[in-house]
Amino acid sequence: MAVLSSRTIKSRLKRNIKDPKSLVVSPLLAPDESYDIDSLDLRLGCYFLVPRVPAFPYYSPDSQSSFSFHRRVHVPLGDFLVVPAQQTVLGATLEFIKLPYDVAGEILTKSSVARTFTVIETAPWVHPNYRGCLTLEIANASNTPILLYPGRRIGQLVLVEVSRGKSPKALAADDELNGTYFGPVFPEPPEFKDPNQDLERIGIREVRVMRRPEWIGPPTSAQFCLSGHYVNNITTGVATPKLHKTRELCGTCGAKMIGACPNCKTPFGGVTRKAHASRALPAGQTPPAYCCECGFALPWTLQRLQTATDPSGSADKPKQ
Amino acid sequence: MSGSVSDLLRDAASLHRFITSIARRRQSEKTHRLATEEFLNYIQDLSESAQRFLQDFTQRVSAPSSDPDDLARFDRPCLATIREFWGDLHEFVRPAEDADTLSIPVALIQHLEDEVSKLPGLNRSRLVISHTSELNYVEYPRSDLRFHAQAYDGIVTKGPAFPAKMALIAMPYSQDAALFLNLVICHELGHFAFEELDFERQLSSDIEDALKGLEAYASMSEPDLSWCRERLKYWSEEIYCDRFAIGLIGPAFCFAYIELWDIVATASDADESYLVEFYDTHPSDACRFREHSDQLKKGDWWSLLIENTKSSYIPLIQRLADIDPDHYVFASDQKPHLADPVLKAFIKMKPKLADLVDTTFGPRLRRFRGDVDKEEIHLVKSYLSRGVVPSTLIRKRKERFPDPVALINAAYLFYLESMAELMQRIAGQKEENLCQRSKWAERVESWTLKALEDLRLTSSPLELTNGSAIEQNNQKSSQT
Repeated sequence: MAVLSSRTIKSRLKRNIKDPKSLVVSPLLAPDESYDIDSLDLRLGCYFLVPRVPAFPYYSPDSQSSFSFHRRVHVPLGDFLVVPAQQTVLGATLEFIKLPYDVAGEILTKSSVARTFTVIETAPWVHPNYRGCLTLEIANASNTPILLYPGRRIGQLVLVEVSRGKSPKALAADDELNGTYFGPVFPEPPEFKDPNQDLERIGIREVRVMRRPEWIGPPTSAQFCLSGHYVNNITTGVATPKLHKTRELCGTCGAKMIGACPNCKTPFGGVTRKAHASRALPAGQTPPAYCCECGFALPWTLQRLQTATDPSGSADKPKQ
Repeated sequence: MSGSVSDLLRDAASLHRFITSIARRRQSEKTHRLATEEFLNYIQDLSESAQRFLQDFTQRVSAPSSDPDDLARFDRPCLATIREFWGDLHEFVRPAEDADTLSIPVALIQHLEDEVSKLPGLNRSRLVISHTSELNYVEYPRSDLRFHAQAYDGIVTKGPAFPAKMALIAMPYSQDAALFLNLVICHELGHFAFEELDFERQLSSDIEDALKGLEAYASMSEPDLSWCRERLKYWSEEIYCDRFAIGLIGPAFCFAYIELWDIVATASDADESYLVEFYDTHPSDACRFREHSDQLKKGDWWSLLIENTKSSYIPLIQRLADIDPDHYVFASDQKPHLADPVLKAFIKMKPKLADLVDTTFGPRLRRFRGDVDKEEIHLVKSYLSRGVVPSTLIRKRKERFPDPVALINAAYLFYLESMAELMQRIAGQKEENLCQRSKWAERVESWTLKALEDLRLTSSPLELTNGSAIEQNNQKSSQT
């Protein structure tokens, strides 16, 4: 297996589309700056799949999961997307890629991007004959929200030649394209079969399936006090759940309660009524550190950050 | 406080609530095109000026010196005028907000806006797309809106002016970000151009001449004449818009028209009356396709369609175009005795409409470019059949970027003729499986839209869709 040099990449890019050895990367903006000796830079596209506040207290990778887990977002060139700390989004490359039948690829985070603790890919391998914009599993592993600008360079594509011999089958490989994840121009949600379908193929017939809670309404709203104590606005253990009245003060510490991000006013999501009623989650819940919509550090996070950076408590004193 | 003042204050408060509820931006996480943003900002500014006016208004009417007679005579009608104008705007605001960049074919709209802006007299035109629940495309004539806006401006004097050269077009929500059927938007843009370039006034003398040529002219009463003028104006505008759309986008418009209105089904009916029948506001399909065919020939597209395409749509266009105009029928319930004469007058004045389209486009009329287009269309189809976005084409080891019109037409022809070629290349796909076929048709549309988007980037890297510039100084790292 040999890594393709920029010269070979350029030569492959000039091959006719009918040639199974042709490579396509389009659009190649500012091409003079896009090549390294052994790789090609890729830019971030404008479409994202942002995780929803889950309606269920877990994520089950099955045939229904792709319909409910994400919300599509378009961020035009010139604008940015905030990825809150410790959060993930699915993005895609701006470039559409078509790999030759005898070349595989690997997409790597650009070093400058990686040093902000942003990871763009957890399944980096791209198979021969792949075509589409590459879906990026972007994770902000840092402790601060990060801005993503579509159109900026985010990854680099390293291409390696795969020795497949010159059998007629290999040469005709262009006609044997795999339909899964074929030709997307937007980030695509994962496609799963149900676990029992998958496991049956290796002889396992009894599969314990996590049943989704019966849907009896939208997720409830939640409140946190300024210190981060949680209250779900719902009564438990009754046949017909009823909403609590909104609380003013925290029952644990007496601090003021808030039900939405102080910056963008997006309400905090609660858990499903059924899940809560069946005590699938503990009554207490870890509060989110940052707002899932705007990335604003929530009051309890600010409090902790302030304590961490200024243990003497002198942060409020004016600077000289 | 007198009863009339109290009533007036209540009405003003009710109006205040009405305006606030229209202008409130509910879905701030959505992204809109610049033109839509401008329209929504206009609404926002308009609502602020209206609220300021209402605030002053309430102070004035509740002053002890206010005259109850004046209140009834002058002040109450002001509120009615304001409400009427906001009633008009009510139709646009939420549907425009619903049509965010995920729910419309942004790259197509951007391309059309750019092209229309290049036409003489239409520079800096903006295209605001909204959604409608009707299965139809609609252009809202701004003259009606302007009429109410003028009365409104007389009352709320410090409000913003209605944005100039802004087309308000509604598309069916079900068409979402699709490409092909949304090409019908080109026809609606024709209505915008017709109004903006004041062609109604220009046509009025041709309409008069056509009517004067009728034997019955001398015996027609003024209401009869006005009814005839109206029919001729409507039909002329529709034909102009069809020709305008073909001038803008080529034969792809005819394909979209056939598909949207299922002309194949209408044409397969043994009874041809549906094809030749004129309606009060629309000419017959046979008449329209005769004009389509003529405009395609004028733009040299016809040779491409006849010689190089296998689609059944081409013989259909030919068949409809060949129907003799003498067979056209207009059966009016309102004025049956005038139906035939007005139809004859229209057929007489039709050639003027082709001239109007020539005037609109001048040298910018998109003609078929012979071998250049043939080659580009062939290449684009070749890329699509291999599941590749056709934005950078390679020919003899050289890069070339397709012309957007060639790209759109090639993609539509590919969709009509060659889907099987694509599906046969992909493992496990069967042409007769509707879900699979529909998935790949959607993919072809998304690849074409992506190519349109890419072409805009490669042709002018600094002028991007939202008007911002891409950061040029991205530091290139030497390390992995």
